[in-house]
Amino acid sequence: MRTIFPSIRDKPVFALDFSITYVGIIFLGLSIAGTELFKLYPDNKLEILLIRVIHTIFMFALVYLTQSTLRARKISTTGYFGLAVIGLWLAIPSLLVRVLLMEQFNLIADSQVAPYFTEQFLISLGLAFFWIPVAIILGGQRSKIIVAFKEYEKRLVITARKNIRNSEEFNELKKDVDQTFRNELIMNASQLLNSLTFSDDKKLSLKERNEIMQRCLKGNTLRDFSRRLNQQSEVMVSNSKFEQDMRSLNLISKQFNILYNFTARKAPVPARVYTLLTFALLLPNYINFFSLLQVLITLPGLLVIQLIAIQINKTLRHGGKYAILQTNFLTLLIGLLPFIEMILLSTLVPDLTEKFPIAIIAVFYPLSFYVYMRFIQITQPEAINAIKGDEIYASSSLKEAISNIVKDEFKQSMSHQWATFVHGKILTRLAATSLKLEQAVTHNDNNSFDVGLKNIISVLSDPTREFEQITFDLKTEISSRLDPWEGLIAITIKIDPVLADISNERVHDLGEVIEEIISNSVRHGGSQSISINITSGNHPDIKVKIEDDAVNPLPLFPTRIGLGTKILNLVSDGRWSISRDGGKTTVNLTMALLERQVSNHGGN
Amino acid sequence: MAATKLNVMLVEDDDFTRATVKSALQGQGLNIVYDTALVKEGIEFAKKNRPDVAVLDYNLGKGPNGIDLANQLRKIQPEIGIVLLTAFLNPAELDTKISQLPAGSRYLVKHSVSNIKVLVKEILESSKYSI
Repeated sequence: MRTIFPSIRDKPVFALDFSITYVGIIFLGLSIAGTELFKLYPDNKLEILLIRVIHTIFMFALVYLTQSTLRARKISTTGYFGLAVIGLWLAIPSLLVRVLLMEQFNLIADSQVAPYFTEQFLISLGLAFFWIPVAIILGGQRSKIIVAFKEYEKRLVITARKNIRNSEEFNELKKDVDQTFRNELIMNASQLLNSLTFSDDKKLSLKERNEIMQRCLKGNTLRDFSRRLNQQSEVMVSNSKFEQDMRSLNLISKQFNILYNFTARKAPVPARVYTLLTFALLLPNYINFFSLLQVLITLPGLLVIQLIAIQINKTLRHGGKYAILQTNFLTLLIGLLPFIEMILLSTLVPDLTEKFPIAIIAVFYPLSFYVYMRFIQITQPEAINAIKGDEIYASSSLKEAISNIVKDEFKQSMSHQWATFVHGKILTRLAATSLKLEQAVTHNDNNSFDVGLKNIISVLSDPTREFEQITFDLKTEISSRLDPWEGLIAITIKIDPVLADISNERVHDLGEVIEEIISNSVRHGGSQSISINITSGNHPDIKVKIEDDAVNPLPLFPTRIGLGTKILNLVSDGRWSISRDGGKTTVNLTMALLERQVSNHGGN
Repeated sequence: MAATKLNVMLVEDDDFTRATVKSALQGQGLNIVYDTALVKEGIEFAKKNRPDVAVLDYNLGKGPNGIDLANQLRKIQPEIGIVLLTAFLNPAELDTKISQLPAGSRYLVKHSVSNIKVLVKEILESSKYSI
């Protein structure tokens, strides 16, 4: 197995990625500040904080300058030697500035500068030859992990979407949403119908009856209902690069435990890494506070750590239900060993024991150690291989997050369909009838008035009657979507003959996709022609390729997610993309057209 | 231009509504030269007959809406008057994706269609559009 830190004999090459170095600088700054504030200079808190801030800014600038210079010289990789040189290049100026600041803020006297420098120089060597190279190597690994994870996330989301879309729970939700809209429409229609009964009084004059009718029709709640549905369907979600990354990070965090558990069982970090990390974390304290004798007294602790780490390794390789729990416990125990050692030694050899604040040694250090080890575990190459091989299943929280997205997309899509229906079929009829009634009054035509009234009663008595009937037949659905556009845009369509006779409820979803893409192409793109090619893919998928000559093509990476994007996501389970070649924009979409459906659309 | 001299085309997908609006407009002396439920027929008619005004419903069912049609009619016949019928106070409330209404177009909230004179006034105003 390839390790994250290959042998020097293999002459490995590492990507020069400084992203984690910046994070490392902050952690290092916090760690040094903690020691200085609580142990070394408890009476100079303000000076220490100022020094840390100035030093951190200087280090950020130095790393940025180094990164830019390397980039300008097109140096993107290096070996262990190169990492050591970069380490020294960053660590020595860091030390010089630190000493200068300590002197300027009068925290060390002039006479102490030389010994302070010598003492800190040893720590800087640790920084140069260990921490900085490690941060750069992990940075390179991080990039690989993020790229692999983005791909993995996409596949995971597609699978989760598909499972959710076909689940019984989702079918129930579809029925519920549909029923809710129906009920609300029926309720609003009934309200209006009841109020209209007052106008059906033959004792009143036609004019008086019309006045009642017009008042009811103008003040009816159906218009508000339709507007509310429309507003719901038009909700846009911001989708900037930052927000996309945050969503990915959120998904990764939901998936972290599963990823950790999988890689820890499959490729546990070697035992020596626990010991090495402990030593590297404690080294500055050894240099700062410990005499040689004190160091020798504490060294057996490292042996204990090595033995516990070997036990962790065995536990993980052996597997078992509680392997991860035991590992977590033992890792925390390793983190607590310096504290346990401090307690023991202060009893046995109090004069040779260096005391550290409890908050640091018993809380901050063990927790940091625990987090570091988990991070190192998931940055193992094995983690990337597992991700690439789709060996890691989706966590329940990730499934839930995706389920909520799918449900939201469905609700918004249904809102749109109902808004269109209420506006196009109900409100329009009411307005037309209102007009007819006015005409009847003008001509004093009782008969026409009653016909108008009957029409309203008929519409309102069964308002959902004409709500879209789903087409199952592919040819009929496609032609119902394309024919209305005739005259506005030239459409050519090619359907794989194998698919021509398809008849199932997913055909309606395909129709929605085609409608969405054509309307976008006409309204935003200003296209004159569009071609649609539908071919069969791996069962149960089909592939839809739509090309247009849009003069204002859609952005390749939309910064906002609206109804259109949601419909495409919902129908294709997220498997769609936009590309551009010269004056041609292409949308490629894959959807499971041939899968067996569990229930009817929308509860119809 | 007098109302009676205006040639008006009506596109409305709902048969009852179309018949009612047509009859009301005719009652006001307008010459409804063509009425249809289909966008493509509306376009064909406009190409051949160049009506003065097109009264279009916003919601035309599946496919293009009234604004899509209005834009196309304006391309075919730049000086055509356009009145868009909607049940909302502002067509922009209908759909954030809608294209801008063509210049000089007017829209009318459907419940004020009850006062047919308002519609006729809008039609007359729209017919004064010049490029």
